[in-house]
Amino acid sequence: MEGLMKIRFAQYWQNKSATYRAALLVIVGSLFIAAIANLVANEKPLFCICEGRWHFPAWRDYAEYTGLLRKTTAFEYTDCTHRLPAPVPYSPSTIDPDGSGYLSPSAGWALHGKKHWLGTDALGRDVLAGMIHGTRYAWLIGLLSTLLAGIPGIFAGMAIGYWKDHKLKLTLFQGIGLVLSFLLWIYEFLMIGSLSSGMVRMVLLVAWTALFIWVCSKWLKPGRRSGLKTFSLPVDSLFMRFIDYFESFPRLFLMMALLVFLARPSGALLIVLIAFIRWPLFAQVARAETLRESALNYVKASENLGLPWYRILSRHIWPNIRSTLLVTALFSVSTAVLLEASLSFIGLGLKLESVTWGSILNEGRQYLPAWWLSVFPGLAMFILLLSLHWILDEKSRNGAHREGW
Amino acid sequence: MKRLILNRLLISVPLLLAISFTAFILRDFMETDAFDPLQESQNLPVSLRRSEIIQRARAESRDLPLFYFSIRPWSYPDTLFRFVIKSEKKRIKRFLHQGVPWPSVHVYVTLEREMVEKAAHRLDKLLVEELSRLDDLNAMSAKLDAMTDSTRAGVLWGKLKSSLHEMQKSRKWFPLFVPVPGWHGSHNRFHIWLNQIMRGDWGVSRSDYRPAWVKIREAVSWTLSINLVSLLVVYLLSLFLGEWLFRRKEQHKGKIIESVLFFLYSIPRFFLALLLILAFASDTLSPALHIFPSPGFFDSNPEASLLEQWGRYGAQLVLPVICLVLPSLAYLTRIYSIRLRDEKNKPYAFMAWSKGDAEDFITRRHLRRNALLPLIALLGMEIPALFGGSVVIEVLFNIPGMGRLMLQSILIQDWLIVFNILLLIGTFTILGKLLADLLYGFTDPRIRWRAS
Repeated sequence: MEGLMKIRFAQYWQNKSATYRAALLVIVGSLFIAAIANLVANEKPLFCICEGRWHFPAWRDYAEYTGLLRKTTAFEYTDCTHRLPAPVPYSPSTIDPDGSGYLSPSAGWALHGKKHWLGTDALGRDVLAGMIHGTRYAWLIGLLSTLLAGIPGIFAGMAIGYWKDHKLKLTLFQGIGLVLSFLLWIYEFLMIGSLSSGMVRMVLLVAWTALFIWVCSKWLKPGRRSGLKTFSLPVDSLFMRFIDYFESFPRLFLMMALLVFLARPSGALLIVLIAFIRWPLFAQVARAETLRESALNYVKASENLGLPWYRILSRHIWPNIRSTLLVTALFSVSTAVLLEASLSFIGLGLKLESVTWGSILNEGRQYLPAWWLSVFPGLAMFILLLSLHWILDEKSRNGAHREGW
Repeated sequence: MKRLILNRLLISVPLLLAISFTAFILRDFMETDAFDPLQESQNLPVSLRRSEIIQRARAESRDLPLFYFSIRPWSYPDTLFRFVIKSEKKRIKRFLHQGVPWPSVHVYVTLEREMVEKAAHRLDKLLVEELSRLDDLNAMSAKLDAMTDSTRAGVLWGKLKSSLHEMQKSRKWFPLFVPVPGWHGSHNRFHIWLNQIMRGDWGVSRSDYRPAWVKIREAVSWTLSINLVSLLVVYLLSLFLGEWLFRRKEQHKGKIIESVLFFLYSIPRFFLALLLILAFASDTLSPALHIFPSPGFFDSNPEASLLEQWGRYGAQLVLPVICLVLPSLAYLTRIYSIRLRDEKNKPYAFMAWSKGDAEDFITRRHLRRNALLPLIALLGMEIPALFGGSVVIEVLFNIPGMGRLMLQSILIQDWLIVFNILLLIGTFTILGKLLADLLYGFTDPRIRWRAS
């Protein structure tokens, strides 16, 4: 880091309060741990020399195939000459026979040769290793679901906040055509979706959607059929009613039902589900911000210059609302982490073999005397949420839209 | 004001309808046609089992169209809804979506069912049943060819083979992509279901054959009582605390309280609950602090009044109420004190101050009213939570409330209860929003003015 970057960073750092700096450190640190979780907690050594050859088992899988059986490599590295084990020499799923049956942290310390810093669970899986990999799950779910919810939510919210109830003017003919073609699009989309051949289906779906968008863009051109009486499509009211409808379901319950119905889905599906129930938040914030901005003079000026709506939105309004949306995104990360943990906590989260903070807490709740199972992962989550909330608080208190990123 | 009320009421009617329709559709989608383990034995012959399912479906009028109108592909038969067994219906749809016209599907399906029911040999039957688990035409014809190589060559097998061949030959894609609207009138399942819901007939739970309404009512009584108590405590305390914080913002004590509140706001509810249980309701960490009974068994006795039950289980309910109170308290107090501070910086407050009004008077007369507005909106949002409850808290403390009932019903896939609860809470969400809007209009003349 040098020059301008250095100065900017120094300015950024010095302008922040001590709590903000600490929170930032926690977040960056946990992101770092999440990124290198495989190197921090791994049953395989990071590096070893066997028979004169160098191995990096934590990076690469040196599995050898002997016939049908895949050799497990975890224990073969024990007789190597030089070994560099990972700082926590357990993977979250490693079952340590010496540590089974709820080893408390103090007993884990006393265990000769192996250290279980934060104890083990019933099977003998290391809690610290689980927590380190849980950090990765928490961040993955938080960030990806936020991204997935944010992109459509922001697009929809900005467009609707800009069009409001009166900017999208249509003739009656255009309006009816729009509704009908939308219905037809959905119908054919479903029908094509039910075809069995995968490749044909993909191509047809993309082609059909492209056709729909093309027809709509031609059909909705302003000035077309001028002279006819126009009415304005109340996009904003319709959208708000839709949000009312969407928000009136208890979403945690709905998500629980879907999770059971889909029978313990993969992480990707969980992320999609969280994003699905969180996107209205982004849409609402983006709409409100766009509404506020589009009443200002600079937007009016660019409208009078004849700029198209998408250019006004992307070049003029977006830079002014993105910092507020960043705050929303941070909030969304924290709620996604919390949601995943609560789902795992009641036993509905990810597949059984993936260890998350919530799943360790779930074990802790089922056997209360093993307090370390509930206290440490809970504490980790508490600290992460606390630092996210500190940053959120400071950003929103200082008026996020004045501050830039 | 009248106009505002009318406006909001008009908006909420279609919303309610949409929500009930969604709950209905989702339940229909998730319901499987599993056999009731209690009512029939698995050893019944296939035909008898099938006819029994169909009979029951007819009795529950499940062989009716789903909604007032429908839009179906041209190649669908207009009475596909009469197939009440979901797996059969799904398979027929798969055939239709492979381009096969309905008449040949019908011929094939009836032939196959006939073979299952009247198979001479056990092996024949097993083979056809295996065939009936497939739905891809090519795979089926390959399988059939493999089955009927030499040994299985009866008349029926020949017929089956030729009708399958017919299906493959007569595939047409065009009719699938032509939508055909149809009108079914009010004799449909949604209409009947909605009528039943309105009349209070909420169906019977699949797990223990008790009426859904009774189960939900029992759960609601627990959840509602706990949540009402905690809501009261939260609002009273946060109003008091928020104003106290606002007054001594600059002092040392205020700052400490504020950061404690911030900590409480960030703490996950289930972690707080676990900590409280570990500290005060178990012997693990500190036997001396074992003040409250461990989360235990609630013998929900429908005859006993609520007061009686509280008297009996009150000690067990203290910790859950604390868990519900603390995070919300932190949130509300923060919002209230921040709002008070914001209002103080506005010109009208400065005006009042420069006029010579005492600060206490300004707070009481002007600031408080304005700062309370967001709390009213939040009150409306709390109403569905009053009935829905918090799943993690109820599961952790073993309270037989709505959250736990929901989790249990979901786990045993008792979708009737699940979606009845969803519908109930959805309704209360809308009512809560309505109430919040009305309260807003009632307290804030600006909104009344804008609406009219």
